[in-house]
Amino acid sequence: MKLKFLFAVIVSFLSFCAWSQNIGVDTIQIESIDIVAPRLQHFSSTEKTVQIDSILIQRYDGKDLSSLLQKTSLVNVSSNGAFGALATVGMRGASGTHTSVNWNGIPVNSLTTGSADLSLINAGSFDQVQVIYGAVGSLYGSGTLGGAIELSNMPDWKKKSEIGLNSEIGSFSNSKTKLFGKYSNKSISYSGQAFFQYGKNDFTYTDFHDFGSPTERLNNNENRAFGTIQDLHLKINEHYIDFGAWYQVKEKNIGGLMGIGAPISYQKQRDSSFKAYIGWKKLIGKFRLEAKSAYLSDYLKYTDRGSATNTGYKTFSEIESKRWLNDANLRYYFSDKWSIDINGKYSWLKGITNNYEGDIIENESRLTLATKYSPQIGTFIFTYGKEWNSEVNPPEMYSFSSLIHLFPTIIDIRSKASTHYKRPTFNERYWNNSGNVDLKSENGWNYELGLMMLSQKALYGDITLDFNAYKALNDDLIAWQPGSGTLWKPINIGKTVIQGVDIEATHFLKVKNNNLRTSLKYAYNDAYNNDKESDNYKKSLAYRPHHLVKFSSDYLFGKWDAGVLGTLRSNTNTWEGDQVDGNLLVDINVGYRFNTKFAKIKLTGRVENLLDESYEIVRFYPMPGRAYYFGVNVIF
Amino acid sequence: MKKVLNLALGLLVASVLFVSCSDDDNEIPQLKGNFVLNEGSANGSISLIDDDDKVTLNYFVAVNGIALGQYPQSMAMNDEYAFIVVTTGSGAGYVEVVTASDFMHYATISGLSYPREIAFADGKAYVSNGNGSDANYAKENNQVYVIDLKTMTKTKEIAVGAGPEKMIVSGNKLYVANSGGWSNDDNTVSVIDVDTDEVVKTITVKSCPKDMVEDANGDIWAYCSGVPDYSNYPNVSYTNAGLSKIDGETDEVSSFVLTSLSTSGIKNIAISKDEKTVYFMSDAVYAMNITDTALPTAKFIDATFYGMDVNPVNGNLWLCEGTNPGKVIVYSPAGSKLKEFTVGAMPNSTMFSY
Repeated sequence: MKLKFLFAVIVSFLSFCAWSQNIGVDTIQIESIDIVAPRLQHFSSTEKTVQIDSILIQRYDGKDLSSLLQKTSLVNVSSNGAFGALATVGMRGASGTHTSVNWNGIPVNSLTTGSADLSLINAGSFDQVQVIYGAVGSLYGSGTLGGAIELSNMPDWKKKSEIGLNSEIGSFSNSKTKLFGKYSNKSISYSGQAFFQYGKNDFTYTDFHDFGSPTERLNNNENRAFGTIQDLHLKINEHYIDFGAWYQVKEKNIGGLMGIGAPISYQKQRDSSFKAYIGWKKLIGKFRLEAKSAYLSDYLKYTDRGSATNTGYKTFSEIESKRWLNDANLRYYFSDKWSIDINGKYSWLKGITNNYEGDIIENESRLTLATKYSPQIGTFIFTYGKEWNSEVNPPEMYSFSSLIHLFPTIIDIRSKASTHYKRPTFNERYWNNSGNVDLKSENGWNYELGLMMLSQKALYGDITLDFNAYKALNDDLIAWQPGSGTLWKPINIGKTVIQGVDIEATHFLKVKNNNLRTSLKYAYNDAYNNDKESDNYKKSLAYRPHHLVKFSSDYLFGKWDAGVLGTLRSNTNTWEGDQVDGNLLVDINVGYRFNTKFAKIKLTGRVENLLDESYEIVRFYPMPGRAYYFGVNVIF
Repeated sequence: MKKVLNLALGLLVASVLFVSCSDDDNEIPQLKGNFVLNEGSANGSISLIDDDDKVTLNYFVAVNGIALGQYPQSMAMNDEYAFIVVTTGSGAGYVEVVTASDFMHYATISGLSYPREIAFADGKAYVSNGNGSDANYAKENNQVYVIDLKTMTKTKEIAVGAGPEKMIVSGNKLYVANSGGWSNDDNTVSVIDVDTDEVVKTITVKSCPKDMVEDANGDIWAYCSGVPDYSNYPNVSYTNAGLSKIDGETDEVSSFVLTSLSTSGIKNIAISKDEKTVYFMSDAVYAMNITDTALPTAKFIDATFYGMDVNPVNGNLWLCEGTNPGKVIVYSPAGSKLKEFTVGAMPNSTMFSY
């Protein structure tokens, strides 16, 4: 409560300071990026936003997004075995259902589970990957306790054209190829890609859950995927029109688990999805108008034959969702430093599965008011959001955030107080024999205080530092817990507290043609049950590591580049109180680029899990040991 | 190093808690105590409660250094070994065999898709296997596997009804309750001649027989949980539920209709120490004399549980509360509460070793 009061005082004071600035500017100069950029980017300037380095995106182009984020960001990836197995990402001690994943502003989290399966998203399919720590609920809506991930394909209005190919082969019969093309001029910006991926993924591992810790080989773990993403942006008489389409299919055999006996499994899953949107933006005087409409269709089929001789299925489950999302936004610029947004959303949501008692349709609408003021001293943002759902009535949402240039060009201070909520997902409410329509929505407050040292000359190079402390209070956290028999059920487990710090430091050194970029990131998090009535009072939540460390260093010299990347994750507990040991993973890589008369070519090599560590992230799901990858990138 | 420590701890626990009670060198001494089987969620466990009421959680792990696996379903013991039937969620179920003297791993019986229960007769073991349904949750018959106890391998498959669960050996007959499994579509008990390992009779009882006991007269009591209707979930109703009493001589069936079922238990029937009183659950625990011709109306214990067993030495009822962590509550044969223990997640049954 004291903390809440402190934040209120700080925000009030800062707001007063802000209002006292002169805002009477007759001539408004709005940066063009502010017009073209996704709407929410306008409000992310006070957030801790980390853009993944394009070098790292290219390096892990052949991997899925969970692999990229696990190696590069202070996020907690939960993976059921890598190589296409279910992978979700939690931020700042929250779970995967508390991370909003957006593609060009379109939320792609599953309607039915609430989380985004990042194994379905290619790391290299986007121009920009941003991690927004502690994104606010009043802007992003349900399920942003931890933060948001923004995947963007940006328009380019310069005259340019290129086609290219990225191809990689690796251990365990893995291969991936991406064909891409881009064309742009002052009126059109097009980019398109098609990708194909296959992996047998029959890696060996030490089964330390079996007698004698035998070395076992994972079978039935084959994975194949293909898909395409198309983006077209038009600029016609200052009207900005965007089209996007994303279709992909993934077929994954689900491998067996560690434990007594061989890893036998006859499970298989097919995921297919189609996402498309059309958007329009226009600046008219002091008004920026934007409208967007998107259609998303997701299909999942899970089967389990149960035995080698079974020609039918022991388990057959299909689940499909369809969403039609509409968004209209009006921004008015009082000046080039002060703007206000009014945003309205309407969503039509449908869940179709034999696991519900019939099809489920919900209608949802949302109103958001947001204002941003950016005087010389910094930036101040206030937002208000209210959502209406035909089945669940979420609370009103607020956020107050600021970024103060305490010592301009040297030290910035970031502060934020905001509310968050998460409505129960379709599965949590409607799943036969498990769902509970009486589940309460999660809700609570987030607080954050950050300090940034902007780029400074030190240690023979440039150093930046970003330090953040945060706390999130959540009432009625929803968690799937063991119910009767083998049945898991979602329940409100009561109050939880999530608190911690994260620190990121980068150092950049350039000597003639030598560039050395080093990054060190550390996160401490404590997420625990704070419900005095609970048997688990003050106990840590499952699968929340206290410590995360990410280290990377990249050396570029002429046509060569080489790097090392390390991740350290501390022990976690399962929901049953068992321990999952932490792990230290190290990757190394090398690349060489050269030009021919017809193309720019880059050859790459990479070793993942250099130390060949046997580890789990989710208990009993084996993760791969050392793996080698060789790639070629060609741009014509 | 951690495994060595686990093993040392397990051996220490085993040596402290248990003593051999036999002077006969040819007999293998058995561990003594009450073994509570916990289904768990991601992983099952065994909680050992000794005669001094000391509870050792995760006893299997403490001894063997290895997790038991997903969804252990039942447990039984013969002179030499204890057998833990682990269903798993992946279609690769197994029976973990540990030696009766120290609970150390001896063998793993594999090649089972969905094992449920184990019984012993004629020097062999029998494992009921199968979930009773196809992909559309329609009825699909399953099997009982015959296990060679010397090699701990399957030697024969006997076709029975859908979703076979509890098995009872009476004389040279093995009774198999065909519960319908996930299809909830069976109402039979298969009778297997253990000399020939062939089904010699199929007896019709009430719907979805899951659990059975044998009384002092040699009659078999089948607890039939009925066909569930989830359309008004979380309110679930059951049709054609009841107790079916199978005459041990003639195999004739007389049934009692159960109404007002509210139990979500899976082990819902037990027999008293003298085998003259049947305990069963519907909306509470009831006690019924085996000669009664009508169901009792008075509640014996006004609560329902996930599992129920009777200690064969003192006749106490051990009732499992299927929660996480789980709880076992002990009642006297007179129905008064004696004590309770906190155990692993989702306990479903207790095995007693003396």
